[in-house]
Amino acid sequence: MDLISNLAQGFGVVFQFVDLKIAFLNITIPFPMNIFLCFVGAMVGTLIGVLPGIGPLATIAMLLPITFGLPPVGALIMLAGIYYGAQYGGSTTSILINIPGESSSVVTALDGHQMAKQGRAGPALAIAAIGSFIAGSFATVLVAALGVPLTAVALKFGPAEYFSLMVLGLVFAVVLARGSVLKALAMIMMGLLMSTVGSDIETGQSRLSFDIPELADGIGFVVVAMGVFGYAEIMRNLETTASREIVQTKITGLMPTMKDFKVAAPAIGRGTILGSTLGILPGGGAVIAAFAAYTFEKKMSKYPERFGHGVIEGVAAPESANNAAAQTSFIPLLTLGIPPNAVMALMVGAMTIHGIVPGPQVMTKQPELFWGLIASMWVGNLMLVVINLPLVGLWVRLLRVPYRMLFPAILIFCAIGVYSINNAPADAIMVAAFGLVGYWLVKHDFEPAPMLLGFVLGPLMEENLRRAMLIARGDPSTFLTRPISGVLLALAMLLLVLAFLPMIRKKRDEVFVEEPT
Amino acid sequence: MSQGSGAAHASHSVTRHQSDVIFGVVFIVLALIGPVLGLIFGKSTPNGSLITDAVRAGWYSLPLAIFGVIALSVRIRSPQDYYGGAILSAMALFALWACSDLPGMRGFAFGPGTAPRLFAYMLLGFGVAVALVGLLTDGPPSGDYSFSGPLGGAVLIVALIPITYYSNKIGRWIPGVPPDVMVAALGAAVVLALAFLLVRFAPRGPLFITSATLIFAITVRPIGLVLASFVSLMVSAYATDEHRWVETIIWAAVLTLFCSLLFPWGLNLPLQLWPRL
Repeated sequence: MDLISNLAQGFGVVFQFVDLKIAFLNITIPFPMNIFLCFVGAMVGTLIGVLPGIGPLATIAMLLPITFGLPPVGALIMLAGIYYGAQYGGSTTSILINIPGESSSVVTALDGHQMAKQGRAGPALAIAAIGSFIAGSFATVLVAALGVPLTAVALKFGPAEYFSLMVLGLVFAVVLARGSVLKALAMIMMGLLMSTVGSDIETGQSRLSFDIPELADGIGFVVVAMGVFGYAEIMRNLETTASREIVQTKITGLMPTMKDFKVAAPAIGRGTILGSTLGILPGGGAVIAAFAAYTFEKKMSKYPERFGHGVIEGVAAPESANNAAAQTSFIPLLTLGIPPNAVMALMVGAMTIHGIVPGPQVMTKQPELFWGLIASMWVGNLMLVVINLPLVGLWVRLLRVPYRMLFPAILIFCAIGVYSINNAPADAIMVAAFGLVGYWLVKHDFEPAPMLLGFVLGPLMEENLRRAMLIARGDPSTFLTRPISGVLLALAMLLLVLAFLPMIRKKRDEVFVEEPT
Repeated sequence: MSQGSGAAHASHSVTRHQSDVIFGVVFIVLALIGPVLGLIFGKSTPNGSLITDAVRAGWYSLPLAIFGVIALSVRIRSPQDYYGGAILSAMALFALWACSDLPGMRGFAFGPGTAPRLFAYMLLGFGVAVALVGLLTDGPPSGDYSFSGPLGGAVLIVALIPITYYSNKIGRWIPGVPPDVMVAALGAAVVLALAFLLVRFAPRGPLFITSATLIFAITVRPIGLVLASFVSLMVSAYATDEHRWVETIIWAAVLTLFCSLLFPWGLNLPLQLWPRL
């Protein structure tokens, strides 16, 4: 029953009316501000997510500054809307042209684009939206249900447990990501090291800042995110002149047939459950969920050979899974305060800028924020269906915008956005510098996502490590002898060992290489 | 990526050796920076201690010579990993040097330097491990422009340092021109000139994206958002070779208009639109 009253409180926040003064008419009207923000977020998120070559990370990084002027609840609701929008926009791109905007919709492109080629882009887009909505609704309830008990657990955690939990989270992030485990570990260390720039929390001594005043407060989080994801992506995209194969056939008949629904329904169900589970795991999130759901669906299917040639399950399952995962990945963030993936790391950054420290205390101290955000997830998903299905035509037209017109817009938007945060020109210069860093990382096949995760978790890890060591009077064995902490570290160790075993490594690589057959 | 690298592998086999030589020399030069700077700037030790500042600084940079010597003597099987790991190790050593004067453990309490040093040592460890993997297993060559791109952009950023450092003097060069406009104009001119000079050696993307941002950053305060955005958008168009003049000008004007409406009015941010007169 608590669940219902909590959700009711959340919806109360989302449907809150504020008095809006219209200056020139001199009247005030009640205005559903949060709904409006959610709508704008989902809309803008889709708008930018649809643009080829711009993933959710770049979208959120780019749009972060525009939420800074809002009240915290509104800002987070809008950001969540942007996230779902960007996620969904990415799927639209991968169905209509064969360029997935982001890694989580790579698998959607396999069957989705084939469907589009056969003139069934409408049903593919519709089933993606419907699947996402069903998955999102389920995941919303799951987040609400798991929020309270997990928070209760988290409140019992001491510094040692927190530190070990973060280690486990980072290890998960490494193991469940694609690419070399060793390189991802190196990236995490680079992020952690970067997070120590600035003044020390306890003594106030400036570290690694070389007496440069701009570095005295540390490296800005938005600066890193925008540079490494936004700028680096532009620099890289300018080199590849990918031919864009836009589906030219007019999209007619949006609705899937009854037969489509019959085939897709179980796929949506399986995708939702798989996605929700994988989303909770630290390091999981949308990418692995989509890959796993597609592989699983192919294994379950009576006709696996038809996958990759435009079967509707091949769209329904990964789309439901990535949306479910996108939402359940809020669980570790909201209850434990630990971002499980890079997108959530961006949310942490946004929360800290609004003075909210993510963690179990958010639910007890700011219930309106916690439940409001959860309720807004469901509303956001509803928005996606409402926005996307009628606007497919508009998105298709957007896809035709050439990149040479797109990138200056992104560039100037990032530059003004980051400059406006502190009115500091140095911030814009730093974004350019981190853009170069990100470009270099990509050229050497280093994933920047673990770096961002390390960067965000760095201060938290250091603080908890210091406290735990102080409490244990300098005895590092405290991390192993405290039962919860010991178990978490053992798990982390086990995962790492598994990831390096040749047999598992091969399987892990296979999951991420799903070629059309 | 994986398909293209196979072909690139074969065709670059001759030039790749050349690049190994260049990187080998670069790393050895990097390794010598520590002792040389230590000799120049180090304080002389009056008590005749054997460990001079030069030696101390060398502890941090000299290990890089190992990467250089290896690159000169052995064929690097996976340059992408080897040089990636080597540069990360260099970063870690640099961080270790930079926090070498921070106090470490005090009793059983962490000092300000403990955590940075811990993270830096681990980065060093993983960097070396990545480099070893690159030495022992076959892999793709470094991506095209993996060095010239970031390096070219870095040159542009570094070029701004003397200009900001001497901004007081530069501002008085031409009487009648406001000093901040003078500095911004010179900075923008230098960045743009360098970018056009470097475009022969480095890719357009990183060069002109960087210069557009730098020009925006140094001009936005003196000449206001509208002009700074427009100039920076025009510069950014050079980042691709398929730009068309008329289209670029119209599009830059449209974007400038959009941004100068959205940010100050739509989002209520206090930004100055035009030059102060």
